[in-house]
Amino acid sequence: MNVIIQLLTGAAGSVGFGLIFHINKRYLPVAAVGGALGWLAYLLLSHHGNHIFVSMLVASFCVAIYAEILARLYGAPSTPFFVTSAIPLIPGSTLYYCMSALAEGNTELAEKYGSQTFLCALGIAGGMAIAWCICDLTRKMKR
Amino acid sequence: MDSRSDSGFLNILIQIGEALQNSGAEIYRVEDTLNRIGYAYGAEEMNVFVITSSIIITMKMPGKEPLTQTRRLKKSGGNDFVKLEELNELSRQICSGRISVEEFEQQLDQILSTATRGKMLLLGNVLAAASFAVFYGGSIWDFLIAGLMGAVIWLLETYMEPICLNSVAYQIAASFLSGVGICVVSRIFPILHMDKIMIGDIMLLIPGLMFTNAIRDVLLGDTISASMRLIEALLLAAALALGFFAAIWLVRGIW
Repeated sequence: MNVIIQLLTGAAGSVGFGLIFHINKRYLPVAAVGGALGWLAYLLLSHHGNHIFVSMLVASFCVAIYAEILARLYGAPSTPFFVTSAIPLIPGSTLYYCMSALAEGNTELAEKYGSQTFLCALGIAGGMAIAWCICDLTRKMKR
Repeated sequence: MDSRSDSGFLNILIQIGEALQNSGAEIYRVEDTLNRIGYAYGAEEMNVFVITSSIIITMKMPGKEPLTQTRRLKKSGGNDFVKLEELNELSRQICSGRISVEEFEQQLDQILSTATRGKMLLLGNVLAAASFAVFYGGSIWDFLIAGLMGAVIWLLETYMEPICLNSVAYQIAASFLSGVGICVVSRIFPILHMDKIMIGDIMLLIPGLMFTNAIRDVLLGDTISASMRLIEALLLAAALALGFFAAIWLVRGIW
């Protein structure tokens, strides 16, 4: 049940960011699917005991591939698809818990959450970088 | 084209470059588009250099002296993907050689003059903040209050951002004010989960697009712009953390 709520609200959040970034209205449904998909990938991976960094990396990789596929289908740049779909992966919660631990003076906990936030961001960056490199390569090989 | 209209053309070119940059394009895309348009209108040589804060174009038309114009970019990347798509479409049309310079200018003006999108932005803010409050385990009440604070952030963005010193100052002020708001409201109504609401609204202020574009610029080889963007994204994230931290600390201290 919890997972279903998360997938639904993750999708809704992606649509919300779709409106903020002013993406084409036609793309809003696929942005919602992308948001749910990315979070599902992350949940599956971390459920099987993978480290948060690895899970984020693979989830972000999946989202970036999804965005590239859509970009080719619609003949549009892939950034709008990626940015909206990757929104649920953004480590907003660990950033908050890091701050709140700092405000309480609990540096040990703050360190833990801080490094998690950093690893998440690094994982997202790594996943999308790998996906883009592969897509770029396939594009050049086709020519 | 005579040399006066050459200079006018260069000015339009810079305008479309700035518009691309302000709607969230990567540096590579801006440079590539400007090069292509220049060659499409018969330039013999185009030298375009773009970083997040400036555009420099030197164009040489056949049989004429080279011309240079620069523009300082004050805004560091916006986000309007519909505009980006329209600009892309326009440059595609130009490159297939169907448009005169006058038409180009007209169409560009038309794209740039489209109305602001206040209501959609408000709706997006509310929807995103409310959804993420529930996403991280909040209740229906958290959903409502996070949505309300999303609207407050929209107000701050619309009315306070233009008068702030810079984007970092705005980020600190916005996070502090919305943080104090959330702290006070959740003190008055203990049924609310302060952490969930705050996370929902933090998501709105995190510079996610800037971070994505920074990584993309790295991969495309624009290291200078990438590092400028990355540093700005990190500064904004730090400002966000500082603002919320100050709010939590203050409210905890006096209440």
